[in-house]
Amino acid sequence: MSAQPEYAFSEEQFDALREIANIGMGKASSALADLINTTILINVPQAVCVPIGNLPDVLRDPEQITAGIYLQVTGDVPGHATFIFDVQSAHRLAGVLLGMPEVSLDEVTASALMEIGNIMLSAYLTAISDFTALQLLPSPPVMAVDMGGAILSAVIANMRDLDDFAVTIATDIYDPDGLISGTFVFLPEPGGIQRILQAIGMG
Amino acid sequence: MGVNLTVGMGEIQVVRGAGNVLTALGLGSCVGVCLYDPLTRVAGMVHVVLPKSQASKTGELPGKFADTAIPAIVQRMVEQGASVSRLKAAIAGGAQLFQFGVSSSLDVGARNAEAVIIALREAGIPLQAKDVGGSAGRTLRLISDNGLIVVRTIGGAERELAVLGNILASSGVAA
Repeated sequence: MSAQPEYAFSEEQFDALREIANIGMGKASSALADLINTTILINVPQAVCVPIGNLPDVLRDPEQITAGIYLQVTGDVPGHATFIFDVQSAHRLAGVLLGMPEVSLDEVTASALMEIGNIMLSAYLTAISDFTALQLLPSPPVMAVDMGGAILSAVIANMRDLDDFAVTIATDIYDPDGLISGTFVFLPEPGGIQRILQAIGMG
Repeated sequence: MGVNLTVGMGEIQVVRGAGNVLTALGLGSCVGVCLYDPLTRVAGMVHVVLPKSQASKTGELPGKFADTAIPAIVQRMVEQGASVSRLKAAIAGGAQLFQFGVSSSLDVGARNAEAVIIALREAGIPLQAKDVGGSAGRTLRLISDNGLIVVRTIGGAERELAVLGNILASSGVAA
């Protein structure tokens, strides 16, 4: 087995990270709810430190076809943010936003979905910035339609420092009618979590 | 009794004998490398994430990087009784998933595939088949009975990439 990660955190620290993620996703989900005029709910965020090989397990089905919107985070906590929606949800989101009942995934719908990702991540990061006084900025989004696990692995391959373990903060988002379902995954670069914890006096 | 093992990012799995299945789910820019010794039926798979090892970042997972993954999996297979001279390889993955709004810095897939091919050549292992590049993620399976390699992409059925245990198969790399 692999060695323990150097940056293993206590349960209290993981609790704090979950709470911060909860605050951020609360803002992100209400930004989405405003955008498409629907109630959006979130699950209690997962905050885990796992071997990178186990990261796709944060998705319910890594082989499911999804639309993944990926944005890098720069600033005090550099990292990688990915919204992974199942394809039907992505169609619905783009359809509502574009005012069309039926859409296919093309450049126009992709750009609508990337804008959703941008708005949600901006809300998420602003909430965390307000809470921690750290500066967090989103980069322009990119998008892919593929297996969720494949999208996540492509994001992980883009990490600047790839340790054996990675801290992941993941939150499921959905609507009460079961029409929209997705997962938000934030992967900070090594060291970023310590900076968040220090900022709230739990480092 | 055979086992069915999943090969996660950076992981190496090696099995011996018939009845085992190795699977890498959802290879995006990553490359799955299958190695097989037809005589001893030692089968191995490694899920390579990046082309080149970063100093001091190899840690306990040499399988993360193409240049450290191939020597590491070969050693594991030799420990299980495989002979390097009998090993054959097939690879899949290395896609460029992000098609919308993309900057070129994301194309790690092509570099992964290239690095794996070089590492296999340096190890003297013939590459029997490859399914790399494109924009679609892949699931890769290796069946230890005969070294059958199957690949699945989204919306598609599983298709056969190679049978590494078939000694009658023509050598050389499939296009």
